[in-house]
Amino acid sequence: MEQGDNPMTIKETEKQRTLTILIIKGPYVSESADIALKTALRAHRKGYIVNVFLYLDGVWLSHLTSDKTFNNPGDWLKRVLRKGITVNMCERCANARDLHNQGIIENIRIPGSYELINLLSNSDKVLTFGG
Amino acid sequence: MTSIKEKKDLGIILTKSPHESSLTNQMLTLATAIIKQKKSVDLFLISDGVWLAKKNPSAKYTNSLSLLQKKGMRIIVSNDHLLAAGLTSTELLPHITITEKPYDSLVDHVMTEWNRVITL
Repeated sequence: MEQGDNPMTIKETEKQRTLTILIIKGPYVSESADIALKTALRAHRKGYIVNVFLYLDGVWLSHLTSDKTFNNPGDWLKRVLRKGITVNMCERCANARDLHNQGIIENIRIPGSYELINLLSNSDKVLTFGG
Repeated sequence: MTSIKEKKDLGIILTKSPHESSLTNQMLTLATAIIKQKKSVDLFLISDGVWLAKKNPSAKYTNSLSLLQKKGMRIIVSNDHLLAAGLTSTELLPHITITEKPYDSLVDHVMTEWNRVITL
């Protein structure tokens, strides 16, 4: 970096880099989902392209549609979606858990597993939360 | 002011406490192997992972961590989660980097400093 640059400024080339965040554990059993979604929001704010993929029990996050008086990972997920971050959910995982378009948070895409492979292949970095 | 970000070969994000699973031992084994190969590694502790930073002289992992630090492993800990755990800086191992902005720090490390990253 050159003298005088703001160390917090992301270079233009860095801004185009892609981060994919995989969530494989459901809400409340651990803090994984919360950490994953907060990381997604921060990366987006820093200018990175961010994808979130709900996989295995991570698909349960989509089921948190109602408001709560306590910490709600569903709210974090809705915030992620409002920011325009793409959220995908594994179709097979969702079907296995009887999660359908009706009864889940809106605007979550439900592609097949091939989309996960696609995201992993095309991302600069991948973080998996919930292992 | 110039700012040079030190690149590391591997970043390990640990979210689990030392006694919750065998992941701590696996992490230490991995970090040791990485360093033996003359590569560099950072350890980022968040959520229950912050408990690993607590001084515990009787724990085997404390010695291993100190050795890894002497060989260049940096340990970064989320202050938010230290506070949640009720841990103060005086209770931690020496030479720990505490980050007041864990998510900013995590994103910066993942996207610009670490060549590869693994989450445990």
